[in-house]
Amino acid sequence: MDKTILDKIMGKVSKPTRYMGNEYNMIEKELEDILIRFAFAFPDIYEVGMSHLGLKILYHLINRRGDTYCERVFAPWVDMEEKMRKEGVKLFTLETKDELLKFDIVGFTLQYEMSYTNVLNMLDLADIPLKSTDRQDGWDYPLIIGGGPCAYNAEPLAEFFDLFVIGEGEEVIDELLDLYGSCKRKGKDKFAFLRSASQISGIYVPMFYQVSYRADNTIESIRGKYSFVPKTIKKRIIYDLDEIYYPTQMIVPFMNIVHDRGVLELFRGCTRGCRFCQAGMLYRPVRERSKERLNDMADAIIQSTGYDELSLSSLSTSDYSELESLTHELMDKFKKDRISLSLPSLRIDSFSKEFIEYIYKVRRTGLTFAPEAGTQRLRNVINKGVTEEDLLRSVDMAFELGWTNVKLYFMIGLPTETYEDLLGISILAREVVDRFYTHRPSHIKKNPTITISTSSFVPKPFTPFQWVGQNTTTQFEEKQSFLQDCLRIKNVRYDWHEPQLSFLEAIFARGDRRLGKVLLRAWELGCKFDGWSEQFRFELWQQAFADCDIDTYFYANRVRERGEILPWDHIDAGVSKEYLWREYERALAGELTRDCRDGCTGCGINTKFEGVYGCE
Amino acid sequence: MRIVAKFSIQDRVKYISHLDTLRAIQRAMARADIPVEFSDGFHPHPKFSLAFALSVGMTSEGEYMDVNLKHPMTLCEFKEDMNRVLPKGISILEVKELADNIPSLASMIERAKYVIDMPYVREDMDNFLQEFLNQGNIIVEKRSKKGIRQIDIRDMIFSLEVAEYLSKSVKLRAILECSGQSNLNPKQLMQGIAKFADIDYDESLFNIHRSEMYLYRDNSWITPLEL
Repeated sequence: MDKTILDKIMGKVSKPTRYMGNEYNMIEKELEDILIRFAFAFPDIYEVGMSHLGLKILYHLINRRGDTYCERVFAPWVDMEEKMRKEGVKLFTLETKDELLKFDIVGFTLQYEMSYTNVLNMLDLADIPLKSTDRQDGWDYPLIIGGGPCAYNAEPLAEFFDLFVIGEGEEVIDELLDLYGSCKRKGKDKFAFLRSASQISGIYVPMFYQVSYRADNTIESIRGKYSFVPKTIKKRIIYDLDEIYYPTQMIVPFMNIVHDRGVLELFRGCTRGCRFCQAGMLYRPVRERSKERLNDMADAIIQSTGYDELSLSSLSTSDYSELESLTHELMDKFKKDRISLSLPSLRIDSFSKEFIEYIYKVRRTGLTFAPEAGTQRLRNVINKGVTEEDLLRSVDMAFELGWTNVKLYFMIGLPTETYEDLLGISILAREVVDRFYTHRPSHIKKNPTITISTSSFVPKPFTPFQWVGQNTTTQFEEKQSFLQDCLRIKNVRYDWHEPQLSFLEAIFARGDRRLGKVLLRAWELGCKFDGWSEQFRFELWQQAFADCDIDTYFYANRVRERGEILPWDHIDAGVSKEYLWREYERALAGELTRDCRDGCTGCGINTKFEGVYGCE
Repeated sequence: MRIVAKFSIQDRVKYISHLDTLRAIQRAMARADIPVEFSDGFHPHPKFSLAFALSVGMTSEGEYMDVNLKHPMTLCEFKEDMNRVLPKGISILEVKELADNIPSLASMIERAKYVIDMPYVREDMDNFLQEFLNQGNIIVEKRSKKGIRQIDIRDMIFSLEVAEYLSKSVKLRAILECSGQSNLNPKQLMQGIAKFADIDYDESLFNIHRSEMYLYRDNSWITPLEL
């Protein structure tokens, strides 16, 4: 890349550090020694992408290989894109500033549906043809691969990607790179490579599958085009988290990023079985790291980064079996160096007051609780094993410890929801305000700020609610205005989000291959950074659906039948469809299912992956 | 123990902001186990500061940090330990101990020296610069939060000369006002020169490098290392 031109545009954009690289712990390699050049692509801006644990893990993991150099590339913000297009600068990586066309593999991480237009935009900025069929001749273009939670149903992206990695990438990426390296050395063509790749467990090559549809638009069949392709693609998991590589020499960004701290991953998976939660189903089974290993990792991370904050991260941190003693050990060790711990998603009712005070003494920002639904009935439907008593006990404790700022998070549009349940939100809000005045310590004179925040429920694949029809945006808006009315309570604030984004999420989360053309059209019309409210342009999406003659109701709002073939039925996430359906029926009947730490609930993961720790 | 350290910000990291620089150095001090002293009080903060912010996009070999240590270490140790863990592109050049009674560097710095690559050459460059300086006032635009203002920068330029002629550009050397009360950003100087020469001003085409900072003490201009 011409450095003068790059300097010229970098001098004119906001936050040029986003494109600069050269952070502490960035990996540098001699290109002569490299067989495979890998660009890890995050389809959002630097501050978001660099906060993502998966990037940190895979970047350093891939760079342990002598034959491969993994570099990073993020979506340039709109001002940078404009300058790049004007000056003819192609999308480049932060490490070498080389353009993506020079790379062997570009690997996108797919964390949320609303980043899909950015994927297309990044390919276009790199001068790489968007459709995989336009990249078939030899190896003129990099291999485009994807992974992350959205890869479990990446059908709307099927025509743009060469392959997807399903599940945890740590082991499979090495197998894939070994194969790529050997194919490259032997001069094998792309088809031969993809054919071999499709034999690796966890690798999905979408072009090897044919989907046919019925007259009513539902799927008739999903079939392999060739005899060698597996009928289903089973996700990959790591069996022993203590044994697997974890980066301690994490990159330390210069600029302030979203989560600007060290990250200690305690465990993967979640046993609670909340029926709306996709992560809770996809990342099964639960696998913990040992306390000893975590202590060592924490020391190494702090030593090699210089961070003054370490986040203990997991889907549900409170569930770590030795959390209290781990936290005490870390606190004792780090206190003298003023290093603080942050514990997101902590359920404070499960700990003593002393413990909570101990953890939070450094920072006293607001506390967030997630009852998710306004009545016990509806909380049972979603299997959120939290009672009103649990919640109020936590709130009491927070107020007693001096908090004045509390946020309660809910979803609206959950299955079976009625206006009684919405009213329940406001009853709860009132109760929380009352609790403040009865529980605050005498020295606190100010009034509380209770924030009620609602999001619009999005049914996701591989959850018991994958068959559910989403509320229409009109229904959501009616519910929001109802809540606005009944939440006019002193000291209570109501936050809500425009439902249009959730509507699109619902379409793409459970979409099929026919949505590829909508994505393409929306991108052509100028959609990008859809997750950023100031960039989101719903009217362009509506036009894209109309131009492609796609019925959005069919994807978002329709209730799906039990027997219907779902677009992701050829992907095996470990939990069985029977289990999900059983949980769906129990939801509709308002029946709770226990946390599977207290006894197996038969999701099927332990028969798919035998001998996994923590799941008998 | 109080330490003053001169450091550089090189081309590869020149887009970091002042806050980024502070953060990067603080984290490096943590990695190097430098025993930085903390202030007392409810929100203790490290006793550490930088002499003067460098604008985004500029390089420098004349930056200074001012650090208080809880217990002494050798100057050599400080320099080596820090250079081992600083991001590439930031390096400690020289270190000196500073008496505790000396005011903060930030409060004493008054001038800075810059070397500027200007992609504009003419044969009579020396005369041109002299004519430029001979103007009674030099009005440039200054952007601030309140909007664009016209300011006169003539009295903030203490010297301006050609350091070196290159084939397609010329290297200028300038000593400009640089203090908390009044600071001339060399970008504004270049804007003034471009206007005077009647050429288009594109700040990204001017490489600006800060090479030294000065303070006035005992009737002479000295660098912080000469304190």
